[in-house]
Formats: sequence, C-alpha cells, structure tokens
Amino acid sequence: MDIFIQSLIGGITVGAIYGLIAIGFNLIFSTTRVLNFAQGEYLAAGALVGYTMSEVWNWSFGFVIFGVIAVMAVVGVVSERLIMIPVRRVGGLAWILTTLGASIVMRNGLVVLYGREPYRFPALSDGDIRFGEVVIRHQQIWIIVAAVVLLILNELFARRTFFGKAIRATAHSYDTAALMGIPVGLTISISFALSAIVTGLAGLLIAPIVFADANMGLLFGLKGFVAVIVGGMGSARGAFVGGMIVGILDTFVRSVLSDVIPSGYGNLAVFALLAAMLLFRPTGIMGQAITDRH
Amino acid sequence: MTYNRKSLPTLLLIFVMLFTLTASSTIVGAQDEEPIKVGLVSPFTGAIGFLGVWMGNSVQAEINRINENGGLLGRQVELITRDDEINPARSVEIVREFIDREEVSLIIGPSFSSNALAVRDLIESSGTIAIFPTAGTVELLENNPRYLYRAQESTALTAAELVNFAIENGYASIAILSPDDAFGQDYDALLEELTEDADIEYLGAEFFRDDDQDLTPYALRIKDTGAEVVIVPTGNSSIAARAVVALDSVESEAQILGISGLQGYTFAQLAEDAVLGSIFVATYLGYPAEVAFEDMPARYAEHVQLVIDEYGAVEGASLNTYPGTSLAGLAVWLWEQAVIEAGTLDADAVADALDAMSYTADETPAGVAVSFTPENHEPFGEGSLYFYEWYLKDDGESYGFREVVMGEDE
Amino acid sequence: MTLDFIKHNARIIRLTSIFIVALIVFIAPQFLDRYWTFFFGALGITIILATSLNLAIGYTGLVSIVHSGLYGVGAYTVAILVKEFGWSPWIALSMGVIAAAFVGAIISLTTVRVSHLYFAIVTLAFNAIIVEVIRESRDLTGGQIGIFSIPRPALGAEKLDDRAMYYLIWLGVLFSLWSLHNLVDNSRYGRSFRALKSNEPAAIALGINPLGYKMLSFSLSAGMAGFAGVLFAYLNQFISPQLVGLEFGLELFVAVLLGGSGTLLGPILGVVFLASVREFIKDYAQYQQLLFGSVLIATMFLIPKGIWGELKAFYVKQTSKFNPDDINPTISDPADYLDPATIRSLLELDNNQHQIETGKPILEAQGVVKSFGGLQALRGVDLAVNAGTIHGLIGPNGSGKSTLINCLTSSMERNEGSIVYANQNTPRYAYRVAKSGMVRVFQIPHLFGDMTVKENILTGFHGRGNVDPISYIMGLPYARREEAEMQRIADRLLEVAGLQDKAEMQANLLPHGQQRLLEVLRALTVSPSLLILDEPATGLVTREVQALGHLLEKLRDSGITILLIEHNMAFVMSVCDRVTVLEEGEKIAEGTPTEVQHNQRVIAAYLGESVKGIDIEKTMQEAVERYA
Repeated sequence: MDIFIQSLIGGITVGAIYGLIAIGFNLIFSTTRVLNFAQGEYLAAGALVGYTMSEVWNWSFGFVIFGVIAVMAVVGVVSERLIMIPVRRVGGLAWILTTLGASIVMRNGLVVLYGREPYRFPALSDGDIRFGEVVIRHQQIWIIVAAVVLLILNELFARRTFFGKAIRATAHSYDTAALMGIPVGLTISISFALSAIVTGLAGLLIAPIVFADANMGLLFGLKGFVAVIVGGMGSARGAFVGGMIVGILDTFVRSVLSDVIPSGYGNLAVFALLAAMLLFRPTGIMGQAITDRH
Repeated sequence: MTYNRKSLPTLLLIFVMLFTLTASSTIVGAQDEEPIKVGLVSPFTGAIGFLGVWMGNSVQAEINRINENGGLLGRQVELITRDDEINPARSVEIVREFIDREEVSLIIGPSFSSNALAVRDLIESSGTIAIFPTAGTVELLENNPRYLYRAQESTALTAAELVNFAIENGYASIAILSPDDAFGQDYDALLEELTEDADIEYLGAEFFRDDDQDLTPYALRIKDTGAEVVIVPTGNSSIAARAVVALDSVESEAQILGISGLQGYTFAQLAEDAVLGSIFVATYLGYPAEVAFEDMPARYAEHVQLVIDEYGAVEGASLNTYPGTSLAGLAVWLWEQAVIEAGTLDADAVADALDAMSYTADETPAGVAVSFTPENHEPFGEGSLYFYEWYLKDDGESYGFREVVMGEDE
Repeated sequence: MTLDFIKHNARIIRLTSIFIVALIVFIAPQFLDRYWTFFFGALGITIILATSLNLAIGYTGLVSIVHSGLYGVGAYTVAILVKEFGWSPWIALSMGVIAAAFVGAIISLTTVRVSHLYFAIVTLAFNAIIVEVIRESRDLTGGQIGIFSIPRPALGAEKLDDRAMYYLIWLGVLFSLWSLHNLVDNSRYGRSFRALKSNEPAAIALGINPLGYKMLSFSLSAGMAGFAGVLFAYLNQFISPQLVGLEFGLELFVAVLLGGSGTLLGPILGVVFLASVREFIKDYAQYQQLLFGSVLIATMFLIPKGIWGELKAFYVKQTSKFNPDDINPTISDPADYLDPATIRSLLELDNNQHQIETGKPILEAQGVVKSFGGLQALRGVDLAVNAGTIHGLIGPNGSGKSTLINCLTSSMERNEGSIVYANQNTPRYAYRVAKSGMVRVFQIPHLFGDMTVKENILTGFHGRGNVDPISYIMGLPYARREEAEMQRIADRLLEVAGLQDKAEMQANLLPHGQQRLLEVLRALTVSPSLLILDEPATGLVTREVQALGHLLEKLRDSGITILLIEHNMAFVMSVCDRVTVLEEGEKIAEGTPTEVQHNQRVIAAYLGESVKGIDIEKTMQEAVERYA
C-alpha cells in the first residue's frame, strides 16, 4: 500500500511535468500544425539555465523564474524562425527536418555549454512530509501547485487576452484570422515563445527531483508528446490530464506492478497507450478532430 | 522512361562522390617507421565522461614515461583515444577502426561490461591484445580467451569480497538495488550462489532503469525487505548517486556497499550527504584516501606522481584526488612489461609473456599484486582488495573516504 | 549546351554511367582496406534501408518513423535464429525478411483508422514499442547488451569475410533498386501506390482499395527494411537496441527527405551526403552532433527541396522549351475522333456485368437522408437514373448535390434510405463502387498530378491482369508481358482521345481543358456503366464546353449512362435527357429539360419567390453567367 501511494505521488509529479510539456506541444501545434521534436530541449534548457542563474550567479528564486522566462522567450522565438521559415517555403514534411534539426542543435548546444554531466539542483524548499513510510518531498508539492497555476494562467491567457484569442483564431484558420486583423506571423512567434516558457519552467521544476543534464529532454519530450495525444490536441486541460495519465501509468507499471511485469515495460505501456489512443480515439480524451490545414 | 533521364545528374554525382571517397581511402602509409599505436576507447563525454579523460591521463602519463626513456623496442608509442558515449554500437565501430584502420598493438577498454562484451569476439578473432581496466563482468573472460586480459577486479571477486565483508561485520541479510544492466544481473546470480551456504540471507534484487525518473518506490521496496545491507553494484557514479539519494530519502538504515560507482568524485558531488557511511570495495586508492606518498606501494605512488606532474591534482569540494585511474595505468604498464619480455609486438608472443606474469603489490601501478596464467586472465586474487568508507571531513563541508578493515566496522 | 547533350543522348549516357558505377562498385574492394570495405558495406545497407523507406514515404505517402525498428526486427530475427537456435544463416535470412514484413503488415493495418500525420505518430509509437520489447526480452535478445558474435553465412566451407559481405550487400543494393524500379515505374501495383499518395479520393473512386494497397506497399517496404537489417546483423556480427532506435529512424528519414523522396536515386544521395558530412566532421568529435544539426538546418534554408529536388528543378528549368501549344491548345472536337465502337472494345464495355436495358433505371435512390450534426443536408431524396441516358442533377449552392453524390458513391455514410445500383445494393466501401460499375469524376480536378498523362490512364487498369506483385518485383517475363499489354491499350486510348503527344507529360502541366478530358478518360478505364460527373464544365471556355458536350453524347452512344451535376444551365439543358432539381436537401422537380425549365418551384428556387413572369430562358442564362 505504501508503495502504491508512493508511486501515485511520483506519478502525479512527473505527470504534472508531462502535462506542462504537453501544453507546450499544444500551443505550437495549434497555430502551426507542427509537432515540435525540439520540445524536450526547452525543458533541458530551462533546467540548465535555471541552474546557472541559481547556483553559479546565486540569484534568488524569484529572479531565477523571471530570468528563465526571459531566456526561454528568446529561445522560443529563435527556434520559431529556424523551424518555420523553411516550412513556409516548402511545406510538406519539412517540419520534421527542421524541428529535428532544431532539437539536435539545441541539445548539443547545451552539451557544448554544460557538458553532458548531470547537475544537482537545489529544491525550492528542502524537506519532506511523511505519512508512515510514504515520503512526499516539498518539491513534489511545489511541482503540482506550480503546474496547476500555470494551467490556470494558460487558460486565462487563452480566454482573456488579445493574443490568447489570436492563437485560438489562428488555430482555426490562417485566412479567417488574417481577415479578423490578427497578425498571424506574430501570433505564431508568440505561441512558440509561450510554449518554450511553459516547458522551460517545467524543467526548472523537475530539475531538483532528477539531476539536470543536457540530454534530459529526449525522454521527457517523448512522454510529453504521448500526453498531448492522449489528452487531445487543442485542449490545454486535456493535455494536463493526458500528462497525469502517462505519468501515473508509467510509474505504476515500473514500480507497483514490477512483480507482475518487468519494470522496463513502463515505457512500453506508455507507447502502447499512444498507439491504442491513436487507433481507437484519435481525438484524445478532450481534444477536437484535427484537420490538416491547407 | 522520363524518370531515368531526369535522374542522370544524380547518377553522375553519386559516381563522383563514390569515386572521391574511394580514392581518398586508398592512401595507405608505410608501417615500420610509424610509432606503435595504443587505442583507448571509453566514454569521454556524458555523466561519467571524466572516466575516459582520466583513463586517458593515466595511459598517456605512462606512455610519456616510455617515450622519454627511448620508447618501446626503439619505437615511440602513440595513444589514440575515442569516445564511445557508452553506446556498445559505437564501441564496435571504434574497435573496428582500431583494428582495421589504425592497426593498434594494444586496445585499452571499452569501459563497462555491455560495451566490452560487444567487442569481445571482434578483438579475440583479430588477434589483438586487449586489456580491460573498467569492465568487470565474469562473462567477458569466459571460455578462456587468448588475447583478452582484465586489469580490474571482476564482479565475481568484488561480490565475494562484499559478501565476506557483510558476514565479517555481522550483518544478517543483504539485498541489491541496481540498474538492470549486465552488472546487476551478474550480482544477482553471484549473490544467490555466494549466500547459499553462508551465514547471511539474500533478500533479492530491485532493478530500476536508467530512464526511471523517481527511484523512491524502489528504495521503499528495499527498505520493506528489511535488508541490513544494500549493495549498489554499478560502475556509473551518477546512477549510484541517484540510488543512494533515494535510499536516503526513505530513511533507509541499511549499510550501503558498492563498487567503482561509489568511488568517483562525481558520486559525492551529486549525492552529497547521502554518501556518508557508504562503503565500497576497490583496488588501492591511497591518494584520494589521503595516505602519505611514502606509505603508498612504490609503483602506485610513482604512477600517481606521473599523472599529477602532467595534469595537476583535483581539489574538488567533494573529494581531493588525482585525475587518473591507476588501473588504466596498470593496463599499459602490463603490456609494456610483456612487450619488453617478448621482444616483439607479435600478439602471440606478447600474450605468452603476459600469461607468465606475476608481480607483488609494490611493483604494480595498481598497488595490488597481479598475476596471470594461460588459464586465468583475471589479475587480482581474493583478499587483495581494499574497502573504503565515505566520511565528512573536519571542515564539515567536504567529503572524503578512508580505508576500513573488514570486521572492524563500527 | 551540356544539358541538351544529356537530353539527347540520355540512353547512352545512362547506360554508360550505370556501367561505370557498377564497375567502380565491383572493383572498389580491390583498393580498399578492411576498414573502408566495412564502411562501404555498411553504407550499402543504409542505402537499402533508405530505399525501403522511400517506397513507403516517397511512393505511397506513408510517413514512417518505424523503419529502423523494422530493420531491427530483421536483424534480431536472424541473430536469434542463427545464434540461439542454430539455423542456417541463409534460411534465417528469409525469415528475417518475412518477420519484418509481417510486423509491417500489422502496423499498416492502422491506416484504416488514422491517416497522414497520425500515421507518422503511430509508427513512432511502434518504433518505441519494438525497441522496448527488444530491450526487455532479455533471454532472447540480450537486453541492453545486445547479441554479439552472430555467425555469418558461409559459401561452401568458408564463412563470408568482409569483402564477400561487401559484394553480397551491393548485390542487395542493386537488387533493391532494380526491384523498386520494376514495382513503382512499371507495374499496376506501384501505380496504385503512387495514385494513393497523389490523390487518395481519386484513387478510391477508381476502385483502388486503399487499405489493401497500403498494406501491400508497407509490407514490401518493411520486408526490404528487414532485409537490410539481416545484412547488417551479418556484416556487423553485433546488434544492440541502440542500433535500431528512434535516433537512427529519424536520421534515415532525414536522408530520404534530404536526398529527395519519391525518386529512385534521391535517397542514395541523401545517405551518401549524410555519411560524407559525418566523415568530414569526424575530427571535431565534441561538436559533431552540433555541426550535424546545423548542417541539417542550413540545408533546409539553402536547398529546401532536397538535393535531388533542386537538381531536378534546375534540369527541368534548363531543358523545358517554351511550347506555345501548351498555353493555347487547339481544341479538337471529340466528334471528329472518338469512335464509340473503338471505345467499347478498348474499355471492354461489352464484358460489363451490369448492363441494364436502355430506358430502365440503372440507379435508384430512395429516401436518402444525411445529416451533419443538427443540419440535415439531405431530407429523403429519391433519384432514378435510366440506363443509356444523360441525367442532369441541378440545384442552387448548398442544395445537397455533392452530398448526394457522396452518398451514392459510398464516400459518405447515409443516415437513412436505400440505394440500388444495377439491381443490387451499393457496396458499403467507396473503393468497391467502381467495380460495381459506377465511377465519379470530382468537381475540382483530382488528377494524379505528379504522374504522367499515360500513367494516369494506366492507373485505372489496376484491376486488370492477374500477375502477383512479387513477379513484378522480380521483373519476370509474364509480368512484363502484362505490363506491355496495358501500355498498348493506354497508348491506343490516348491516341483515340487525341492526347498521344502528351503521353509522357506530367499531368498537372496539361492545360485545364485537357486535364478535364484526361480525368473523364481516366474514369472510363475502369469500364463503368455509370459515369458521375461533378460540374465538369467549370472553368472551361465555350468551345471546350461544346467539345465536352459532344464527348458526353459519344459516351452515351457507347452505352455509358451519365449522371451530370452542373451549374452551367445552358449546358445541362442542351445535353441532358432528364433533369432532377434539388433545393435544400429535397427534390423539387424532375423531368425533361423543358419541363424543368418551366417549373415554377425551380424558378423560385433559383431566383427567389418574388420574381415572377420573367422570361425564363433569359433568367436561366443570367443564372448561368452568375454561377460560371
């Protein structure tokens, strides 16, 4: 029972992170129909930049948050240029090559800057709460709280602000958006910037639980991607729920069911869920049907 | 048929490309005037990238010594290093390059058992001498290979020593927390065997994967078994650090025992306070354990000095050490002695010379006695290893480890 | 000019280059040391793998990221069979191919449910699944460590050495390219693959079973990927999960797209390009990946169409001469050349199973209801089309004409009602409709634009002939004979239609009017008894409309019933025998053109209730102009 609850807590924690990454995927996908292979790299960038600010420059946590937001906004806009210019020129499958290229460049840029060694990142507050054998680290609570706050902020942004509405209009149709006087290009840039910020902050949050390193984005990106498919494209709440499902499923298969199935089948279960979702409910739990844009 | 017409420029281009590649590859130089080549393959980047760098330092320091003394058989020795990123596929590629393209006389590495196993047959069938300073799995030297030698303690040896240690210190039960790799599997099987008739109970292994984000549930399971000793059998410091941090976070009171993963300076850097009290088995580590030079085995002291002269000492917040690996130094030193003995680079003659070797602890760079026979390419015998325990230094900030003697653990 | 020289001596140059390349490939190992022999052997394997991926992506439009996994299936199958179970490596080879093809077939089953982008994601998931299964089935696969010391096949008593493997591999490369060429350029199967990629609805309308052909293509492609994996297991004698993972899959993808997908040689270029880049930046070890990514992005900025795409664009630009005929084609009137008897015999209309006596209804729809959410697009429409007539279907925009057509051809599922064609219920799946004798031509041109005019025609013949795909791949004589026969009929048909000089032209380069003609002609190749035309006159000039009218009359005289949806009222009135009028999902009138023209509800529908007593002919003309 302890292990069950412990795994549940672990699952919810990483699930919240997957959920944030999924929101990031969603933002970019909705405006561009591009699945950004570089999404996980935003996470690694957020974590490592945060490390530099907090450990090397000794900034206080509040400044670190703003610093990471500023850096990630720039990273998002720059990567948008790299990814979208060729896509606009040739279309088709160009996005696969450009997002892949961006991901390789970003990942290895981080390797050049930080090397490949892991960094230990201090928790927002050390310590833990215990219920019998079960340990809940403060950082885990912070992650869940912060993820929910980010989700709410994201919803508010989407519904209450001009660019939030612009993103939704652009998601629907470029032409309609343009007719409504929405600067489509700028909106796309903003969606990339926001996506990078949300994912970068997720990196900042998870870094104290796992060691931060330049290659950490790969697996997180992949699972966040599963989360967005499971939750449904086009819905931030869906993405969040998808993240939870992926996180809990993964952790459960690994640690709760490890007597029944080998622990390695965690990834397998996640990807099988992805395949099953695509086959039986391609719109995801809360998403809308996605049409190809012409 | 329009299609073929259009593809013509492509065809020509391919032709040109293939031709240039072919032409550029056929330039083969003369052999005898060139230096003797030694290939080192190991991770040079990544979580334990320092391992390759430090192995390289140790090997290079010994090679510098050889070259300054007039070389080997009158020829200079040259070190070629390659990074395999702990990817066995890369190891194979690199070893192939060493054998077929560089025609090296000695291969040192690859590090880690999976990587070493991947290239084992390739090296053996090519008739190149290989010495593994950082691959412990028993399987590597199964079936008595002719050209493969180990310059490290095998899993069989360390497992036996660790179990002995636990018994001698009066522990009643033992469990394993390990990544599910070759080492982990080895240990699981070995402990099953070693504890069978012994005075200690083996409670099983908990395997996690390197992509597990949270090791706490595994640690909790280990704690639930009530094991008094937990063995963390990994050579990877970063993974070892995650394991001990997880055990620490569930307030496990079991004694942590480990192997080379627990000796790296990154281990303490990442795991911080969680390292305290953990004990690992290793060859002689006098320098990081802050033994005075004059108290160290002579050849070990010389090797450390060579490395420090060349590369300086490492004074980290977590551990003061030297940027080398005595076992890598041992590998190249053993080969040097064998080549001198054989008087030739011929692999069979060198292997024969290696097979006849026997040195005392004072004579080898490892600070441990070494002997090979044609049937046994394991360098160390039972009882020759040392145990070290992590402790907090008097300044209350930095960590260090010191030798503990079996049966005297507090 | 050099390019002109190339153009005019294409055949000689082509044969010479093939000969030279083959010669180099053959004698190269004599000059290569072991390292480079191995290197080029491995390069050859990657070329085979890229070629297999090209079949899926470039020729069938199935974007796959699972090919590295399928390669792994092949490699692991032989490794396990040979190493664990002691099979002969040669027999295991075929099992590796079959296993990969089988997994490919299962994956392609998912195309029933998902398409395009989602298929790419499904393959990504499958790749991860394959890698995880390999990683976790430790007893068989050695887990993370992999399988080493895989025995190589032997010739006689000697196990193949690196050089022999090199020859085996390059033989495999040649065979792969040759068989891909046989399949995609000279077989009805390959044309169906390409048609599905180019325009799936049009392919389905021609009776091409999308699932069946995609499964076939993907299984063949997977088998080829498995073949590459088998060769790799034997060459490298070691495999591990890292070798078949996502990273490699994506790299392959890059190679194919960078070189130019959908062309035989493009992917080879891509593979060679990437391998050269890797060799070139080998000395900058720690920056290698960074440089690699930068090269990738730079390539997308500088040569976004891929290497082959840019070369091709350059070549086409340099060699295509300005042809005034292509801009202002002389419109030949079908009245002059389309001979009903010839058409009947070429299209095997007499063999048609579904002949209905002229004047009796061939198609009967009753009470067809179709709603989209709350909106009812069809509210119980009846329609009867008599055999041997041209039947018009008109109505204002949004009256439900296209929806009705979609229901008739099973492209959409109807909510209620029955549709009987030639005394039988219409099939449930759209692709079976063509075989039952009904074929539609779409409103906006649905040609297979990147295929030639002749290939467009040939695609319709996919159902004729009985030679299996493997024989085509192997280029067996009877497959070649069958292909030659189809080519002959296609040539003859183009000749009859006056398009013979455009046979080798890319279809989307045809002038608009001829594209329309080609589309009708293509629809005829499946030997229909009912042809459904959706606004064929749109965008045609008056002379072309007249020619179209003559064509339809000729076809009717050949025994083909025609259902014509049209906005051009004058055209409808002049060619149709009967006309049905729809408004807001309901049939409001039916009868001869004259009856319909005088029907007050029809006039009201087109012009609104308030307009009365106006000259009908004139208002109709105005309506025609407005809608044209």
